[in-house]
Amino acid sequence: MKKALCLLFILLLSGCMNNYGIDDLAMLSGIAFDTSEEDYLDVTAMYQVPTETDVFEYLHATSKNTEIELMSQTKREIAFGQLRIALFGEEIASEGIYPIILSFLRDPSIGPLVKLAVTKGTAKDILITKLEKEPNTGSYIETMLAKFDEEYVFPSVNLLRFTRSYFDDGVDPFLPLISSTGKNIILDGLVLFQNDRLVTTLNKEKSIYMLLLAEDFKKGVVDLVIEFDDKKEDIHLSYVRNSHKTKVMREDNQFSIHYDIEMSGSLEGYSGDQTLKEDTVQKEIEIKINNALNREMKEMLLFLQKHKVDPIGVGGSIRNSLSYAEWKKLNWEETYPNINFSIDVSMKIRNVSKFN
Amino acid sequence: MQEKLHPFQITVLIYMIQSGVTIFSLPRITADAFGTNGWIGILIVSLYSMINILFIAMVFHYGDGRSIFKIFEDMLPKILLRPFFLCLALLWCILGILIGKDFALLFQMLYLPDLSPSVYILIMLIFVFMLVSKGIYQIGKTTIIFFFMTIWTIFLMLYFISEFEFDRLTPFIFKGDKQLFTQGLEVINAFLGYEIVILMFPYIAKSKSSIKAFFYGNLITTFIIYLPLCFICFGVLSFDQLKNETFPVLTLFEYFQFPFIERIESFVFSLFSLKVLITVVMFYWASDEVFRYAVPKIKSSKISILILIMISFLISLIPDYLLDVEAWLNWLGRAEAVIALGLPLSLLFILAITKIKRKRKMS
Repeated sequence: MKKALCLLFILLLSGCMNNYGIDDLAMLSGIAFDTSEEDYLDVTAMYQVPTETDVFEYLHATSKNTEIELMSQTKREIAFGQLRIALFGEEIASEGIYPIILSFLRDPSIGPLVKLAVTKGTAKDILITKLEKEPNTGSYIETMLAKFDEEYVFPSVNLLRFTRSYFDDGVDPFLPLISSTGKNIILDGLVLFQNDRLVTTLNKEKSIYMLLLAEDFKKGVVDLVIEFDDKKEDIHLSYVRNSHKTKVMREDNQFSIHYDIEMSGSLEGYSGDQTLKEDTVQKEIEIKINNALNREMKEMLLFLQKHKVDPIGVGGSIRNSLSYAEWKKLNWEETYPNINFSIDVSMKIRNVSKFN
Repeated sequence: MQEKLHPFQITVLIYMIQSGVTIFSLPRITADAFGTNGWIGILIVSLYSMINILFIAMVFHYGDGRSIFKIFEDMLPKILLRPFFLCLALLWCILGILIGKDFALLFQMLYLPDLSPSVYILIMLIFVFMLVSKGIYQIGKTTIIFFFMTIWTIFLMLYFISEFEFDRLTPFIFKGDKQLFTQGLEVINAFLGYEIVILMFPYIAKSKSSIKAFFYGNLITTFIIYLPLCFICFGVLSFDQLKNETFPVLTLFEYFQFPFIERIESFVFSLFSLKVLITVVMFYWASDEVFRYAVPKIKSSKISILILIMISFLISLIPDYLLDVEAWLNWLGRAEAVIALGLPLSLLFILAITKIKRKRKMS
């Protein structure tokens, strides 16, 4: 009797739920944000239905009404659960993106894995780029960024990681920068933020040095130019970072930080005509690589300092060397540009290419 | 002879009553309560509950495993005891249903906006009726099954090793804004539930391992669940981010991405309804125990549980929304914290007095 009653209840319940066919849903895969006149936000969202790819756009929608405005343009129910990527135009990124991030964080249907990126020009143009082979631009960009992340070339930044750096008082967030060539979408480098505002950009080559300095990135690839007898030669290395030590020294209010980074790499590409088999050549190349790395990374630190952005977490290192009261008293804006940096990178070549 | 609860069942029961919905927000609560590195605060609160459990264990030991009603009767007349236990019965059944309602409303907010919480509560009450009328021994057996169905979720946390950074913990201990009193009480509430054990005395074999089992339950909650969870949250999320996350643990569960499945947090959350169910069932069971003592005319446990379910259901209709329910739970939780400490202490007091009296009589 009791079992029958339970069964009856369960059966009755199945009628209570709303059910959606997949055809009735507009599952957004990508969304792009740009500035518009005055307070308005220009939102472009895209979704794919099983048979076609629709891109709908809307202008002059306030951020609060975006959802209603988008809803009024489709017969389907808008679902954010499958959102893969959110793009921000350069302009809106330099004005601050936290209000948008906040609306993401507050929506229970949007998970922390949504990837974020900044676009050269307007984000809308990137999202509506018609790619020849992959019509779903949103998921294409997501896959591309995920690939870079998996191969440890560039880290992809998702909602959780961005929010974490935004709220952390010892590090500033960064996002990948992408652009469109009309037919293809390419990764251009990284953009650096101060709080939630874009401050400066780094190209792909420079980004690598920034990532080498940041602690949570442990392997990747790097391209270098070294000089042999006044001849420029290109080198392509894949590296594993073995140790990353930071030493903070303090005299009164003058901080100096020493980075000690040890890596081992394998020489995967070399354009010069030295014989790589010889030990002396290997040693010489190693020294030249180390000189180049030291120079580039020192320059990178000065560059970051000049723009007052801290994506590598210098603040965190200093914070963790102070007491709480000292850290709270410290004026970071004034302290950061005056920090002395020194750096010691040593790269050991683990193996050379398979052909001389 | 009546079947007794196995020590392992006691351990699991205590752990299952202790950890409930609060687990999803606990890291934030510790951050609010203790400031930076608030996860260490878990140890302090756990120590407090250990001491509280020690009092309960002392009542069990010195009272020779007698039920608390008998101990009370040594000193106080039944006329006085009955209204007191009636109040307790009310408190526990309301606490039970509100814990369930809180979970239902959260479920509605997060995953099923179309689900009416009443439907969930009705189903839950059917389970409560079935389990409580079967008695503590059957509840114990069910709890073991539910325990193994939920405990593995903690191992999912290993996934976060790659996101974890010690630098994020900062070397500052208990710094920043602190709401020690209000939020600290919530951390204590997260540990509450062990006090129900005081009613289980007649169902527990009097042995050392039973007493140890009381403590093991709290140890599981502390060292297998709460402490690792909070520690990971403090190292994966930055401090101010953590303070802004309403349910940091759910956010972490949302972060999982397996090749075949993602967004498993809704699954984990639904799984937790089993845990919540046990908490609710145990509060109803406790309520039923004291209710039948307070109103001795009711002989059958089925009738008393039905009465309790009806009363509590009607009362649970008053707070309508999540915020109301949480405010109620907050206040009831504080009352519960007082009872959890007050009940064993007053029992110990009575035991001491009767012992002294007896000694005087002897001499």
